[in-house]
Amino acid sequence: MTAAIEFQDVHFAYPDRPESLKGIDITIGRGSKVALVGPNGAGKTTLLLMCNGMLRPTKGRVLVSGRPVAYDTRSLREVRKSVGLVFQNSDAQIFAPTVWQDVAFGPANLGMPQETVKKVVADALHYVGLSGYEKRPPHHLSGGEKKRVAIAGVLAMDPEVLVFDEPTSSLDPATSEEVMDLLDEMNHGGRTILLSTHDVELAYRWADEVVLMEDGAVLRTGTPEEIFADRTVLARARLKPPAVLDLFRELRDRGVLTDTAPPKNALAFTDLVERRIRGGVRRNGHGTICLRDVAGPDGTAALACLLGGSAKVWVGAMGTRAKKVARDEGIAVDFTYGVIDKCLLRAVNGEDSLILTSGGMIAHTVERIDEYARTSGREIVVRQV
Amino acid sequence: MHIMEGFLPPAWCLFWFLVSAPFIVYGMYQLRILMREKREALPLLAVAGAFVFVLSSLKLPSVSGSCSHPTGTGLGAILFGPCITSILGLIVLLYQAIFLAHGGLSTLGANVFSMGIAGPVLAWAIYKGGQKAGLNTYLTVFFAATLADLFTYVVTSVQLALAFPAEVGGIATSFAAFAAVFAVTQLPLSIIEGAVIALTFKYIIDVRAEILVKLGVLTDAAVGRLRGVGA
Amino acid sequence: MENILDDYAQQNALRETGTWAKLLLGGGAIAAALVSAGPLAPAFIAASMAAITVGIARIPARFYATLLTIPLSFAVLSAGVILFLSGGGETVWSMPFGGITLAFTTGSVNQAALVLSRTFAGMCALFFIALTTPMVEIFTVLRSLRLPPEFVDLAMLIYHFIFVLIGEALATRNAQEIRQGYAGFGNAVRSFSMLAGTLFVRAWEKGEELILAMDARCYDGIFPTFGGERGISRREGVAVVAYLSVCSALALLSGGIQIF
Repeated sequence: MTAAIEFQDVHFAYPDRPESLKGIDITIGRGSKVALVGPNGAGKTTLLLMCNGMLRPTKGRVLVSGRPVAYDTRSLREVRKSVGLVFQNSDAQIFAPTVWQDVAFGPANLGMPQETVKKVVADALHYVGLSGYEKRPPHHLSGGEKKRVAIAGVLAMDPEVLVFDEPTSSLDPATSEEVMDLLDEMNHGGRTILLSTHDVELAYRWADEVVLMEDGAVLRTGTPEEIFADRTVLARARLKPPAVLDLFRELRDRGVLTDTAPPKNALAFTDLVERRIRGGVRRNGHGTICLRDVAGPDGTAALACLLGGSAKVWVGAMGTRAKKVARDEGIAVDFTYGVIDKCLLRAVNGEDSLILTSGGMIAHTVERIDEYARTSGREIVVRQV
Repeated sequence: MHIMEGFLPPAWCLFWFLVSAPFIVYGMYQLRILMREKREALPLLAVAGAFVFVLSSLKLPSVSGSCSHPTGTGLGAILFGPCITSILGLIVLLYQAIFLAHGGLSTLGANVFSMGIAGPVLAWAIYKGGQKAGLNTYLTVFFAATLADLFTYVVTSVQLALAFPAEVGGIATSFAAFAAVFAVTQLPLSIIEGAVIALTFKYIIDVRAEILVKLGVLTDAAVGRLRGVGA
Repeated sequence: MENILDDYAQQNALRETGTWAKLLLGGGAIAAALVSAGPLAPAFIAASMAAITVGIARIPARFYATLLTIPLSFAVLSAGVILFLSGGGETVWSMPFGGITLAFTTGSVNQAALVLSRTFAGMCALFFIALTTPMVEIFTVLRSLRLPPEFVDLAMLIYHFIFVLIGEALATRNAQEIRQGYAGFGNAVRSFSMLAGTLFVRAWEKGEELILAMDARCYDGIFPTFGGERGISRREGVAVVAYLSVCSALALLSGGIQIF
């Protein structure tokens, strides 16, 4: 399968300046989630700007879908159709007087007929949860809303690959979570996502693959577990390891934990610790996870009786549709990102939870919960309601 | 100086629209050519127009504490030429009417003529003339901006006088009266704006002179000279 | 820096009313005020426009009152000139002053009153438009008026950048003020010039960024408009026609009613 994007010995220098990229060789697999991590000045933004032809290598070449990027106007249009770039600063990206006009900009300039433009814009706004914002001027929007308008504008062009320059910088934690959830949803839909970040926690949790950069060169590529466990390379990149990994390593160095495989998240970590202290994990007595497809025939009917009992039921909403439905129905949502893991953490404590989601994510959720049950040896009941 | 909505009799409103029309039409024509030749023209003109508007919405420092605003179109003409400035001026005046309630819609024709056409043309002429004659650039900019402002104010007084001639002495007396009444604010304003624009010009040269070269306002040689002088 | 009326327009109670209706109402009112021969019709127009703006569109009354002071000095000064210079009718008051005689006559009082009331009517109608019709709605109207598309595109981009630059200007000015940038006239002039210069440079840089942003989304010369701006509804049409008929009738018939 051809890679979505490939860099072959790419060098780049701004005029009269030393090289910002010194021979980059990376492959971004189709459908993958890749995080570019490194300190300021590592060349992350420069690299990302090459993905859609906004910068041209001084040496080497960039390939998109297996074809080298040509820098004439027509070829660049083609590249930008399939690779969408979301800038770090939404203010630099949004320029139309209304949200609708900004999101419609890409589709209109791609030559789509008016009716198609209308449909595509409506879909994109719905996807990012901004239906109803069409006539609002962007300068009245919050940072998170602007970011979502920027994403919608790029999404409306239906690119196969989405590139994000520091998607969560300048966003508050809750909004960051929502944006990451959106990225996950896009990836489930088959798109390749490449982002740059210095948020190590984000990269560790989210990415399939991490590319570590420093001073214009790639230090190492690999899975998050491989990269963040390598202390030397992390120090060179001036990064801290993710908290969960750091705690794990300290406990292992003290001899408290003896496992070799590092935990991927809080759930895995706490399971490791519990096993060590108690000699094993409880098989049953865990909470139940109920799953409701908001797009299904039941919608939100009868949820009230599920939620109304004396014991607390935690509610998680995955995906834009579920969040919108929850908002419209006035259902208080506890988790908006990393929903499955958080509900599993609750279940392990004997608490019940309800996950609202839709479409393909239903199957994905069931699969993940079953997988966890298998690997941990716990029996977690999943009920589709 | 803006003429407020409703002040001019309808016949005069129409008259000034007709007088301004040829200039505006020519400006639109130039705009179309420019945008066709250079794709980057649109975004740069947009920021230029926004700059002129925002500049004109700021309060100039004043000795008397009165509230006055720069017109901004004088500087606009020096930077972008009079044809384009007339179009930017039209948009800026429209926005001033609708966003700040300065000026008016029926008086748009009259205001465009005084602030978007007459003033800028003079500013540009003085600037170009001064450059050709080899005069000190900052002095040239000062005079261009100041005299353009004064000219705008004179033209506005003429417009008012034509619409409301005096019983005794006709248009001339009326002109003298209007000019005198507004001189109190307009004279100091013109001088202060001139000084400010000259200083702004210097600031731009010190910080990002290449922008002025790109716009064709200054040559590289001129920048070198000016920077040398200032250093 | 003053309040930008567009922000009020975005949230006013008449936001959902058709743009054409609002523009025709306001524009028609201005026209009616202009053709009045006497001060009664403009006075009515001023009062009714103010009532509609504050009462129906729910613009805060105090804010509206401060807006009315904007044209005040210009209107009063100019009306003053007209008062003393125009003539007709008998002298009402006169006084020697220096070498000349300052006087106003019945004719000039009528003229001045007419001009003053007409200006207030015009301004109130303009405020009505400015406070109820957000600029983004006016763009669709500009397009339907068949103005050159480059011109409307330019106006739309300028609209966005105005807000971006205002933010920058405010931030710069605050930064200057906290360091005594505006203490004293000389300082103020220097600081202001720096502000203007910085604003220009930032504006230019944003222009260059914009070129990149537009290219990143395959700019090909097209600026989409929302389209489908609805025309004027029956109810709106009736209301507009009714109001303008009253205004026009007053304008044409009450011309004879003057102060003198």
